[in-house]
Amino acid sequence: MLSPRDLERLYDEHAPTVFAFLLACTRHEADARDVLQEAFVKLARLPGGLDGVRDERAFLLRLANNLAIDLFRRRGTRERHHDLFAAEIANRFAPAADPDVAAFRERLSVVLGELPAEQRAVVHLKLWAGLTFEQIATTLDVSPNTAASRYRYGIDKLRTRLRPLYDELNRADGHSAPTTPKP
Amino acid sequence: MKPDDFESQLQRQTLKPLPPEWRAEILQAARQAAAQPPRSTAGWSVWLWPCPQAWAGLAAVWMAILALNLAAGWKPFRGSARETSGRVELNWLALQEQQRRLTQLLNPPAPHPIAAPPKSPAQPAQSWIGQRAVNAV
Repeated sequence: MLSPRDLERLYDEHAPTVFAFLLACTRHEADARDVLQEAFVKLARLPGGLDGVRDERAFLLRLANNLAIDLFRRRGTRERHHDLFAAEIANRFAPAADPDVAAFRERLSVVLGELPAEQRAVVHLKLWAGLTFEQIATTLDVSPNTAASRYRYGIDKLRTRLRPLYDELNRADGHSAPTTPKP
Repeated sequence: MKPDDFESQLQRQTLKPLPPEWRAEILQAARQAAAQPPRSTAGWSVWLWPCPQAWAGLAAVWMAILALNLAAGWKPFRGSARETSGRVELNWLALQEQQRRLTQLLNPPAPHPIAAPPKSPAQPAQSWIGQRAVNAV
């Protein structure tokens, strides 16, 4: 069983990544919070703790993914409308002071929400969690080739939908793309 | 795979931070859960959970079979054990009676010397068994 100190360390190290992934999956902040809490409750109840787990982050992401799938199964058809509306509700990116960056992030959040769930999960894990295709395959329980092809399809769709805005912002700035302002 | 400019651009977008006020609540819930004894996992919902659709389908098939059987006129035996034993007893008595009669027919009692009866129009007609006995003598 994990000690309270172990739980705190795991939370501080991995909860932000898990939360971002859950926000990408559920597209709803309240759902992401519920699943995150459920994941840590399960973690706390594990009889052997994380003994034998090589990659804590991958383990937590997989646990969170399974719990998110359970949540969707429990809800079923009745809640699919909620899921559709959630695409408009959840903003996955931090607010930006630069209006161009803010506009790009807002559009990116919307376009990501339009991707099929499996492509969205792979794109998120590759770009923002920094996992390899092998790690993504283990996390989502698919083959590495499937993970890679889903990523490619997802990126192509994002590129097609975001390219006009991306180019427009580049032209307006002269040469700079909408990047995160350096602190 | 080396990401292109577009992918690098996406990667640089900062994700929404985890609300700091959640930390205490989530860790508190986890600690409480760890302190409680594990819940029993027995129960129908846990047992059926791996594939509820399959179980529902199986139940539907059984209902269909039952409906077809009822529609075909099949009636389950509803008698009690006492009725059953009474019926067996009656059958046994009937069988014994039948055997007794058969024995009587096959081994008729020794005939008495019959004197020729006076012919009388008032004499009743003999049965065919009696006639047979007369013929045998």
